[in-house]
Amino acid sequence: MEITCKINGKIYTDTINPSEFLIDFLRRNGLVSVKRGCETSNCGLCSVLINGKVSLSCSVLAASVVDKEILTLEGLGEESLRIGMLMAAEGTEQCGYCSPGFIMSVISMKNNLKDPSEENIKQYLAGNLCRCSGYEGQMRAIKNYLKDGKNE
Amino acid sequence: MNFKKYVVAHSVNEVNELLAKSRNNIILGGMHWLKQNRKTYSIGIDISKLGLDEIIEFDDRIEIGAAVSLRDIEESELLKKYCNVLVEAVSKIVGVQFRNTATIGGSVYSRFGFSDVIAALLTTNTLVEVNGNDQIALHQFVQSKISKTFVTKIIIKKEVSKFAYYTMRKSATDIPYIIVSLSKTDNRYKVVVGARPSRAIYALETMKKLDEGVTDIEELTNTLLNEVDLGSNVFSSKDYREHLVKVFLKRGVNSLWK
Repeated sequence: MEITCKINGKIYTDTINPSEFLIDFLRRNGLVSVKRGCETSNCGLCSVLINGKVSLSCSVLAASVVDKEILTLEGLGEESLRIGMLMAAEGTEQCGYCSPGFIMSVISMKNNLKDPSEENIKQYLAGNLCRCSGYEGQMRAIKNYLKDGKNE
Repeated sequence: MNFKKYVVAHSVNEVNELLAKSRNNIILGGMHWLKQNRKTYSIGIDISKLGLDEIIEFDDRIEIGAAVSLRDIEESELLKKYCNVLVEAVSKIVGVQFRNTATIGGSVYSRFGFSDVIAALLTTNTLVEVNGNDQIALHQFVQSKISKTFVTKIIIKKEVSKFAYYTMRKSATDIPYIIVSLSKTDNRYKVVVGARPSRAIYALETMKKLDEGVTDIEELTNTLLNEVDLGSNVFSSKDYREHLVKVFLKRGVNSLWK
């Protein structure tokens, strides 16, 4: 079957297998920031924004995103670099495998929650697992990122 | 999991016809569980264009379309007011990105023993609409055999209730291995035990004793353990479940009596 959707502002038309998941469609089209992790909808590595909502691309069929807008890390441009640098400054970038999904969730949180408390942040990002760090560094990086946003 | 064909349905009748045509046709919900099996289906039916993605308030009830996401439920001011137990229960399920695509219809239809959604809804007065017209009480639906029905709506009666909801999980975003959910509406109690590990059920004798005004916690916990079958699985032993049920029942009734 053929689908058309918008990914990072660009229109994509492609032929897919009806069972193909969005993660495979994205990676097949070169968007390899989207990582495969648990395959059980638990780890958050494959998180992307679909019409502004953070979603697990490993559980969304590519056929279901027709006419929708997808945003991956590649589409964030400077913003992803900014968050990445803040994370690196706090020592959270060890293997870095979880970072793309984590950054997409942070962007979604920033768009959806106004002045989130530490508890709000923990709850919003509960679906993003990291096996290297203890999450403390990420928390500092997020707070710095949100503070930077306020000062702009 | 594989599909030979993907069909976007445009009416409830079309879904019913496709389900009747082949046992191998299946409705697509949030996909989180369906994707984990190894079956090949003839047709995957997309129900996202049926207008079932709304939470609608009526004078006496709230209707939740099958395609409403768990995240929409979590953020609904209406449900926070009338059915906070459901809001609290769904907020514990994995992460935001999971809840953005998991649907209430898929959660109810699947009747998983560990379902937070079902354990919470059972403490309310809820009907399940199937195939766009028939309505069945949730507790009957939960105990029924899984067949090719189309859960179209969840209908919750508007009532003023107090709720208490307790679960235990190995980690915050894991599935629960015991759930105790309670409600009090006009001095009538409901007590539900889920993740036993089998499907959630009412503790009817315990509910009766609470309605009659029994306040002896030991009598209540003994009654509950005598009437509800608990078992062991990879998540927890039967003994540990029994221990937790006692603690949660005590906390729950104390909270409802306040």
